[in-house]
Amino acid sequence: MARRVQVIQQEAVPPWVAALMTEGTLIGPRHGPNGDPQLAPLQAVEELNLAYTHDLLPPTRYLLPPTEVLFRFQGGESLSLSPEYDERRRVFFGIRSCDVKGIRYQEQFFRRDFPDIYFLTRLENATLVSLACMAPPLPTCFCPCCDGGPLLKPGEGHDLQLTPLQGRYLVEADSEAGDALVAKAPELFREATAADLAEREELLSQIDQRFSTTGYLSRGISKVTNDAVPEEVWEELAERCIHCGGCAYLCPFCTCFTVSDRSRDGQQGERFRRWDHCILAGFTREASGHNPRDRKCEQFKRRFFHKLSYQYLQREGRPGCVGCGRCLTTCMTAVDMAAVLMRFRELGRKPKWGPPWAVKPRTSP
Amino acid sequence: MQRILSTCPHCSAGCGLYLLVDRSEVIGVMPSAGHPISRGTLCMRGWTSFQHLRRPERLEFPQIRLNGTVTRVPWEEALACLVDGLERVRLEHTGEAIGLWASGRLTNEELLLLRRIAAEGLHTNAVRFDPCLHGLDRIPAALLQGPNAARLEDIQAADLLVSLGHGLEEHHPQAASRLLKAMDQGTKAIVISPRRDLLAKPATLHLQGACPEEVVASLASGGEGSPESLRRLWGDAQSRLLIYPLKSLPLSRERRLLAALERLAAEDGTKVLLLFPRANSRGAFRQRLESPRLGGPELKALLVVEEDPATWSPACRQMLQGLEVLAVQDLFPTETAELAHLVLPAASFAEKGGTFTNTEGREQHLRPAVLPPGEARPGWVILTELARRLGVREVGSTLEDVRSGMASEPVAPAPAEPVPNLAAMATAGHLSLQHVPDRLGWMWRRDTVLRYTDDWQREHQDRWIEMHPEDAKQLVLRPGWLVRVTGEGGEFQARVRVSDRVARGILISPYELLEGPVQLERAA
Amino acid sequence: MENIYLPHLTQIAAVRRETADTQTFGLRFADPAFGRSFRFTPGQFVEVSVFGVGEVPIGFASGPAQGNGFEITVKAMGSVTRALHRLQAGDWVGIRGPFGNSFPYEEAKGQDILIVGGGIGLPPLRSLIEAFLQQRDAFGTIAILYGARTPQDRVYKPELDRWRDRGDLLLLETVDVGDDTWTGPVGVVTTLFRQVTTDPSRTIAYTCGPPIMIKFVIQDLLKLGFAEDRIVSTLERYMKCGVGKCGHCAIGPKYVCVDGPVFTYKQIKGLPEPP
Repeated sequence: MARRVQVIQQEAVPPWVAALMTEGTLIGPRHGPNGDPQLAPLQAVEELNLAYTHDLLPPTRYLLPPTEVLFRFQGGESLSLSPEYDERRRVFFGIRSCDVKGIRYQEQFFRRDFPDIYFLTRLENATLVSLACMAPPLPTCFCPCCDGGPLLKPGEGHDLQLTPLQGRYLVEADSEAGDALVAKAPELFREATAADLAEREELLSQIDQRFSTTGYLSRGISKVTNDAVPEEVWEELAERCIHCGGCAYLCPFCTCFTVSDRSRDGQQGERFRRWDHCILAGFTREASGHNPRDRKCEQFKRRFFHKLSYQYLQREGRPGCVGCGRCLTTCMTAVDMAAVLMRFRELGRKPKWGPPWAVKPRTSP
Repeated sequence: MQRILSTCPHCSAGCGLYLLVDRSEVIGVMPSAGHPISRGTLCMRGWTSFQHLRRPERLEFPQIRLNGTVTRVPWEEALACLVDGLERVRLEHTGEAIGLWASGRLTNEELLLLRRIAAEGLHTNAVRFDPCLHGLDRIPAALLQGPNAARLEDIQAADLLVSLGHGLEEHHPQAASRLLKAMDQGTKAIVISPRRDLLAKPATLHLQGACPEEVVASLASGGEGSPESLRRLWGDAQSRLLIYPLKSLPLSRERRLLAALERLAAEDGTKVLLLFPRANSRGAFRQRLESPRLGGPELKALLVVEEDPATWSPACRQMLQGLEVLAVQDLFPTETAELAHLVLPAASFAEKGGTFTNTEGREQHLRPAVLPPGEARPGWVILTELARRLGVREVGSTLEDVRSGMASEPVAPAPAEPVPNLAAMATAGHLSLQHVPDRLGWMWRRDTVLRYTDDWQREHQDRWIEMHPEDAKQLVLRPGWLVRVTGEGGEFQARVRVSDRVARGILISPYELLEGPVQLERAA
Repeated sequence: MENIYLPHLTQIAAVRRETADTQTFGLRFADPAFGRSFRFTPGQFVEVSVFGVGEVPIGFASGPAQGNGFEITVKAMGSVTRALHRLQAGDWVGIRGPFGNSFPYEEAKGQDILIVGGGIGLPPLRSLIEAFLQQRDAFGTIAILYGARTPQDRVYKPELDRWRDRGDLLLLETVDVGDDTWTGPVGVVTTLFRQVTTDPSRTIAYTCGPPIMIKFVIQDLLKLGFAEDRIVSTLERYMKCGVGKCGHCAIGPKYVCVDGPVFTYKQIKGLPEPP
C-alpha cells in the first residue's frame, strides 16, 4: 500500500512535539551537560534540539534497561511472587535508523522460542519516529556497509520516518501508530511535492560520498567465517582489550544479561537482571570453578565470531553490527569493531601496531 | 530513565559519568561523551560503579557493639556516644591519643570537616588522610602546578613518552589509553616496567627490570649510566612527557624518583604527569596533616572513615583491637567495622554531593541521584553534625557552607621516615624469586566498595601469580597449581600462571605488600 | 503472554540423601492442576530457584509420570545448590521449565540400548531408563553400565538393586576405588565394555558423566564401531535464563539450554568451541 509522503517545516516541529508529549513520555533529542547529545525524556518542548547528532546510549536500553527487577518475592506465611511490568508509554522521537534496526533485531531475538515479556511489554508501548541521516552525524558512523542505514525502507520497523531536507522534513508513516502521530496536529503538515522528492533523491545520491563505505564488514565476515584469521592476530588484539565492557553495554545488538537474587533477610527480596558482557572472564565460569573460556584470547575471539558469524548471521540472518560507531567511541584501546575489521583487512600486510622495533641509529645529518 | 552527571569514585582520572536513574533506583551508568577525561569511555571499575549501591550488605543503621552484642541505635545516641568516647579519651590521655583515618575516596568537603574536627574539635594532629598516600608528605610543587605539570591531554602532544609504572592499563586506564593511542600514531615511548604488559609491547624501548628512579636520575644528570638507545631517544625529542603512578614504588625509592623528576621538570620541553591513586587522593594530599606517631601505643581512639585497615596487616589489626574507642563510618560491614565499638552507615558517591580533585587538579562534582538506603547519611552530613557536637564553630549545615570554608593551606614539613631494607636475594643454590608487589593492585583489592561490586568480584575470583616458565620449571611448579608464597612479613596463596611477559627471577602480585625474596611451595 | 522468568511455586515433598554431597528431592507443584498437566521428557531440565539465593539448572531425574510431581538429584557445588541442601520437606522452591531438548526416545524403539553413566551423570539417565522401562517391550536389549568413584559415591543405590533384579536388562557396575564392602569390579567404567556384546548398527548409546569419562567412553564406542550419530551425550555450560536469552550457555551458534543439553557426538564434533 503506497503511503503518503508529507512535509513539515522545521519551525513547525516543536509545536508538533508539544502535541506528542501528551501521548506519553517523549524521548527526544536534547543536549545534555558537556554537550552530550542525548535521546532522553523531554520535560519541556524547549529542550528539543534538532541539531542532535547521536546519543552514546543506544535507545534499545530504554526497552532493555541495564538493570531491571523481574519479580519481588515475599516469604513468611505463604510465599508469593510479584512480577513488575513496565507499561509506560514512550514515543521515541528522532531515533536513528541504526537504532531502529537494533530495536527490531532485539524484538526478533526476544520473541523467538520463549518470548520475553519484559522487553516485549515495553516495545508494545513504544512508538518509533525515526530521523534519517543524510550525512554521518558523527565521524565514527559506518552504517552503510553494515546494512544499518542511513535510511529505513518501508517495513523496517519504524512507525514514522523523518528525512531532513533544507529547512523541512519529509514525513512518512509506516504504520497506523505513525499515522496517528501525524493526526495529532494535521494542520502542521502538507503533501510532499515533486520538488521535495527530487531533493531527497539528490541527497541520497551523495550518501556514498558522505559516509565512509569502506566495506569493512563483508570482508571481515568472510575472514571470520572462513577462520582465516591467524591465532597470533587474535592474541595480539585480545591483549589490548582491557575488559571494560563498554562495547557490549552500548551496542544496539547486544542483549546478554545475568540474573541474581538479592535479599536482606532471606524472607523477602527480588530477582533482577543486569547487563552482562561475554568478554568478561566470569561470563562462562561454572560453579565448580571450571571455565571453558578462561583465556582472554578465547573470550575476545568468541565475541567477534558471535557477532559476525555464529549467533547473528547463522541464527538471526544478519550480522550483529549496524555501524553505529558507539564501540569506536567507547573502546579505550582501539579494538572496537571497525579497528578489528581493519586489522583483518591488513592481514598479510605490516600491521599498524606491532612488536617493538629497535631504535635505529641516527644517520648523519 | 534520567541521567545525572557525576564523577567516578575509583581512580584519580575522574571520569565524567551519568548515573542512569529509573523509578528512584540507579540502574546503570554510562560515560559522558563530551567530558574531557572520559570522552565516552569508562574502565571496568567505572562501568560497574553502581553495582554496590543496592547490595543487601549495605549498612543502614547506626550500631553500637559492646561485649559481643550489636545494637541498632538512633543517630542521636550514636553520635552522642561517639562524642562522649572521644572526649573521655581526650581528657584521660591527650588529643594526640585520638586519630582520624580517612580515605582517598572522601570528598574535599568531608576531608575539610575531618580536618576541622581534628584541629578545632579534638585538638589533635594525629590525622592521616588517605592512607594510600602514607609517608608521601612532600611532592615537589613544580610537579603539581605550573608549566611542567602535565595533564592527560598533553600525552597526545608529546613526541617522547616515558612510562614509569607497570600495570597502567589496570590502575590508570585513561592514561594508558592515551599512551597506547599515541604510540599507535607513531609517538616514541620508553616503558620501564618489570613485565611486558600492554604498553611495553608497542613501546620503542622497553627497559624490563630497570629501576625507574635510577633511570630518571641518570637522565636528570645528563644521561650518564643509561643505555645509548635511551640517551638518543631522550636527546632527539623536543617535548617529553614522563608519567608516574604515585605509590607504585616503596617510599624511599619513590622519594628519589620524585626528586629526580623535579630536576627534569626544570628543563624546557619536559613535563611530568603524576597519577594519584584514588579519586580524591590529590584532594586529600592538599589537606593533609601527618603525624609520625600515628598507630603507636599512645593511640587510644580512632575514627576510621571508609577505609579498612584491619586488612592491611596483622600488626594493624592488633593495634585496632587494643583501642579504647574504635568508630567506623562506612558503607559495608568491613573487617574494621567488625572490630569497632561504633558503626555509622554512610552514603555512597551516588547518594551525596561533594567534590573530588582529580590527578590534574581539576575539581569535579558528585551529584546525588538517589537516597541512601535505610538511615545511612552522606559523610559530610555525619561529619557536620559530629563537628558541631565537638564544638567546632560556624560549621554550617549545607554543602555550600562547608565548601566556603575551604582554602588551600601551606604544607607541614615532612618528618623523617626510616628507609626499608631490601634484603638481598638468597644464593643457597636453589632458585629464589623476588616479589615485586603491585601496590596499586593491592589497593584496589582492599577497596571496600569494589569488594561489593558484583562483576568486579566475579572477574577477580581466581587469584593468579605470573612467573616466567623457566622459573616455574626450576621450582617444579606447574600452571594451575595452588601455591603458598611466603616472605618477610606475610604470605598468601594463589594459582600459578606462566608467561614470558614476566622477567626471570621475579614474581609480581597484588595480594600482599611483600617486598624481596619469597619462598613458594605447593599448597594442599 | 506467559512470563518465562517467573517460577512456579513448588514444595519439597521428600528428601533422600544419596551420597555425602548429593541429595534427591521429590517436588510437588503448589497448583495441583498445573502439576498434573506438567509434561516433560528425559533429557530436559528445570531451573530450580532458592529464593533470595539464586537459580540453577537441574535435569529431571525421574521418568515421565502422571500426577503432580517429579524428582531431581542435586550435588552441592555452589551457593544455590548448597542452600538447596539445607532445605527440608515442606520448604518451598521455584521451578521453571521444562526446558531443553530430549534424549532420542521414539527413534530408539526397536533398537538396542546401551547406557553408560558416571557418578552424578546417572540422574538424567535414570529419567531415560524409567521411560524405557515404562514401555519395555518397545525396545531391544538394554544394558546399563555405571561407574562411581567409590561405593559411597553411588547414587540411587536402591534403584540399582531393583534394576539388577529385574531380569530384563543387564546392569553392570564398577568403582574407581573399592572398599571392604565392595565385591564388584574395580576400574573405570570403560572396563565394563568387554562384558557387553553390542551390535553398533542397531544400538543407540547414551552417556552422561564427568567430561573426562565421557571422552574415554566416546573413544571406546567409536572403536567398537558406533556411528557418530548413534552416540548421545549431554553438554554442560554455566546457565542463567535457561531459555536462550542471556547468552551464557552459547557454544558457537548453539545454546545449550535450547538446542541441548542433549547432543549427539556428531553434533558435538561440529561445534566451533571445545565442549
